[in-house]
Amino acid sequence: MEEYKFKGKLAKYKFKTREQFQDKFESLHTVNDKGELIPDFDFSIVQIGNVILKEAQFDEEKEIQITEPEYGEEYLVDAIWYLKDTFNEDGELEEKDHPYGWKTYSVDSKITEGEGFHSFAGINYQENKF
Amino acid sequence: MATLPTILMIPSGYKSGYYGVVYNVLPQQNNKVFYYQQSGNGTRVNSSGVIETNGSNLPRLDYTNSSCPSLLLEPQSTNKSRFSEYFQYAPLTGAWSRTNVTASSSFSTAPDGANTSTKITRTSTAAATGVNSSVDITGGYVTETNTASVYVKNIDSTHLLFRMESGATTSSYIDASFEFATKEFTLQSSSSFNLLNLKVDELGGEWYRVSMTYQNSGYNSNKFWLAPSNSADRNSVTANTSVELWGSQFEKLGYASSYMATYNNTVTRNLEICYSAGLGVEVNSSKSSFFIDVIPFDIDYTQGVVSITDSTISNHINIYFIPSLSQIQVTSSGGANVTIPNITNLNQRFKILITFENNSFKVYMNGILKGVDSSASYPTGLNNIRFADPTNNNDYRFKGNVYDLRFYKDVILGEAEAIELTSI
Repeated sequence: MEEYKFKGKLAKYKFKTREQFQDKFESLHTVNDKGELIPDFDFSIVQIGNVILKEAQFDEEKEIQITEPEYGEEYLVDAIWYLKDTFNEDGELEEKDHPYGWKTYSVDSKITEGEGFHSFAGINYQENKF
Repeated sequence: MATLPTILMIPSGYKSGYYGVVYNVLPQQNNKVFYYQQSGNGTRVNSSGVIETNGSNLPRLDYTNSSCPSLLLEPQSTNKSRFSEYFQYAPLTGAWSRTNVTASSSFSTAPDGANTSTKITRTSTAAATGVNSSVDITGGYVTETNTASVYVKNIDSTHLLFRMESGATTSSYIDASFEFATKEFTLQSSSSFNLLNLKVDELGGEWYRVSMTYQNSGYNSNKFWLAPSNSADRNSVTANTSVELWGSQFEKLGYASSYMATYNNTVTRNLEICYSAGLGVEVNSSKSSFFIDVIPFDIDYTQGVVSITDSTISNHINIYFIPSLSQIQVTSSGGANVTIPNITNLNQRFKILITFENNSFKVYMNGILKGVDSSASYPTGLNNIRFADPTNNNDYRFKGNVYDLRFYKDVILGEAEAIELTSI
C-alpha cells in the first residue's frame, strides 16, 4: 500500500478584524437549503485570535504576572488547505495557491523559521506552506 | 447460541499508511476494513496507561479508564495552554507564573513515561497561591464552552485546588478542589463563570487528569490557578504541601480531549475520519440488524452520526447523538423515526441495536426496546458504514469511543438476543 504523505498546504493569515475573517470564511462555503454552510472543499481553519499589542508585565523576580497582555483588533488565523491537483493546457501540474481572496492576508513570507504562534501537531509548517 | 454477524469490528488490529486501517474480526479480509484518516499527530493512553503519540493515519486505540481498547474518534481541537509541561519557566505571555509556590522541574515520571513532571510546593497560607497562567481566548472562545484540564499526582497534600478566573478581574471565577483520597472533584465556589462539569480520569502510576468545563463570561483571557493544599478551602490551608503537575490543556470543547503537548505556541490536533471500505456486498441487504457499542462525547455540537448509506443521501439508516436536544434519534430514508429523549448525559456507554425489515423498525438501547416504527420501508442499495452523516459533513461526524460494531446482513435478531446483546 502507498505510504502516507501529507498533501495539504499550511498557511497563516492576518486579517484586520475578526469580522473580515468571517466574511472570507463564509466565502469558502455554499449555503444549503437548511441554511447550513457546506464547505466547497476540504480545509481546517484554526482561529488563533487577536494580535497581542502589549505583552504581560511581570514582577522584578520574573515570577509573578502583574498585568495582562493587551490585544489589538487584527485577527490571526491558521489553515490547512486540501486542494485538488489542477493541470494547465499542456497537462502540467499547476502550483497550488491560496483560495481566491485569501492570499492578500497571508503572512507566510514573513515567517521564515519555526511554527509561529500556532502549529498543527506533527505537521511541519515550513515544509508544507505554499 | 449467539448469531454470527456479517461484519464485526472490535477495535484491535490496525495499521497506518496512505489510509489508516482498522481491521474487522469479520470478515477477515484485508480489503474489507474500516479506513481511518487523520493528518498529523494525536495521543492516546496505551495498554500500560502511558500517553503516547500516534502519527498521521494511525488509528488511536485508547485505554483511558478501561482495560479494553476503544477506537478514539475526536473533533479538531486546539490546546491554547502554552508551555503545557513547563510550570517552571521564564515568564512570557502564556507561560506559568509562581505565586507563593516553588516549582521543581524534571521531578519524576510523568504520564508520558518521561521524567517531565514538575513538583509544586506551597510556601504560604495565602488564598492566592499556585502556579498560574493566562490563556488567550480571543480566537472565538470568549462566549463558548471551554474545558481546562491538568494531570496531577499527590506527594503529601490532600487536595489540588483548581481555579479558573478571568484574566481581567479576580471576581469572575470557578474554584474547585480535587481530593486525592476520595478521587472526588467538587465545586467550592463560583462567580460570574458558569460551571458545566467537573471530571476525573484515572491513569496508571497514581496520576489523575482533572478537567473543568465551563462558560466564560466574556473576557479575552482566562487564568489557570493550580495549588497543592491540605484543605478543600483555599482560605484555610497550611503551607509546605506538594503535588506533581503535568500536561495543562485549555480547549473550546465540552470535554478534555486527548492530550496535546505545547511549548511556546498553541497546538491543534486535526479531525479524525472513519468509514468502511470494501464492505458493499456485506452491507447491501433486504433486511438487517445493526449494533453499535459507543461512548459519544457530550460536547457542544449539533449532532454526531453513525450511518449506513448507499454513498448518497438518498438511502440511509442514521443514528444521531444530539447533545443540544439531549436525545438519540434513529431514522431511515424509508420513513422510520425513533427518538429517545431526555438523556441528560450523553457521555456514557450506549449499546444500540436496530432491527429493520419492511414495516418493522425496532430500536433497542441498553437492554430495553425503546421504540418501534411499523410503517417504514427498508432502504435499497446500502453499501457502506460511516462514522458520519450521509453527506459526510465534518460537523456531523461521530465523536467518541467505539467499542464494537456489528452488522447482520438479512438477519433480524430476536428480542431475547437483542436485549442480551444491548445489556450493559
